[in-house]
Amino acid sequence: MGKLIQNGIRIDGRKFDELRPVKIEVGVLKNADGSAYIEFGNNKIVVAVYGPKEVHPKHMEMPDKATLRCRYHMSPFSVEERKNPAPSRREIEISKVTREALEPALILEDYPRTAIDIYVEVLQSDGGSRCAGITAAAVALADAGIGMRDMVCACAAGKVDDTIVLDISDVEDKEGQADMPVAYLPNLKQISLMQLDGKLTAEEYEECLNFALKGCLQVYEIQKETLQKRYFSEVSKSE
Amino acid sequence: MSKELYVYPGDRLATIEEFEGKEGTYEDDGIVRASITGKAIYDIKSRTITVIPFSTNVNMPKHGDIVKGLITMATPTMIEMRILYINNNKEEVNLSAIYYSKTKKDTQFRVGDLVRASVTNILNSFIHVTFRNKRLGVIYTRCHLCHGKMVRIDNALKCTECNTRDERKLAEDYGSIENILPIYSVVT
Repeated sequence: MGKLIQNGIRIDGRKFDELRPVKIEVGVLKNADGSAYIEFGNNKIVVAVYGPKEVHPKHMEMPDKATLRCRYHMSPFSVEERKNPAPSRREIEISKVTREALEPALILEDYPRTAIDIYVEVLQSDGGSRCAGITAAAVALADAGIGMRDMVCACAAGKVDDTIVLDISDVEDKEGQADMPVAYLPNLKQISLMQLDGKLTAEEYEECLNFALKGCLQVYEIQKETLQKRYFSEVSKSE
Repeated sequence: MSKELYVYPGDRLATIEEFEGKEGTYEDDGIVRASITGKAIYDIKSRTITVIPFSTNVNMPKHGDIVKGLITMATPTMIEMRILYINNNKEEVNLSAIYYSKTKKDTQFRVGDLVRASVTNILNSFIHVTFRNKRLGVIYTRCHLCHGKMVRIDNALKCTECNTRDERKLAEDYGSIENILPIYSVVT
């Protein structure tokens, strides 16, 4: 593999601090209580939210708050070679981190003895799918009308060719030196997810985190725009 | 006098010194924030903020709501009911509520009774209801011995098949068909 950054431009033509094109749609599934579809670069992900609903199996029921369950799943056709549809180690891990990234943002205490199910279905994968999934899941939760302390926006940053870059793609993830996905609660200014795969110096770590947070805020603006288009434009039309 | 604003979850609405947060809001470190996407209404007179949701998928009971349901457990001092309807809207979550009283007369119910109750509060994650109103109480039941039809005689019930008499806290419209049909379709 040749150099991933040439003359300050990345392999896909972006600058260091540039996001891939992001498009979010909300309320795409009729049968779900809340849903969203996100295109984050070449990632295409559908998220469905069901709940609050009855908990099955009953032993998962919690008397003081809702049980949040999350399933991240990659479709067999989402990658270049067919993927076994059975949940892999990676999918189980991402399901867990997605749930843990969303949990601080939800007011689960308002729905005791119920379950909220989030299904993240990756239709096309291109690196950074966990961040895209979390971003879409937050929009779907807002669409479901579930009480939230804040929205959750997620974006990754990383190190490629000894340079800190924002929103790394699949190639940059595989060939690069580090990958740091971050989920952020923008109004409360809290980080709900931060992982780091690779090695960074203390200065690089700080720079990488700042890049990721800047990316999160850009994603948050897109989330707000999406909800605004869906709800506020409808209201102004009816008024 | 009021002011309206479109808000997203987490948006800062006011400080607790300025306004009291009502539905669709929560308090975080002295700041009232929105918890749902919707229209924030600032009531300047009562100094309260309410966020009216745009999406109303979540149907959880709140104080003052009228719920209808089925008694699932009855003891001399406490009953548990499964909520089937909240303000005449079908309830999908399968919630249960409890009623606690030290006077036995207040808890004259049997498992399987269809009842109407009013939500008093949600305390310690339990939905508490009350039957202390003429409109509240048993709206339909069957004989616990022969499953025959129970008709109202004063403040008690009598089975038309086996003449069994039963004491109950009856709602004033006990046996009214429009109360029973929608609930029975859920139960059966």
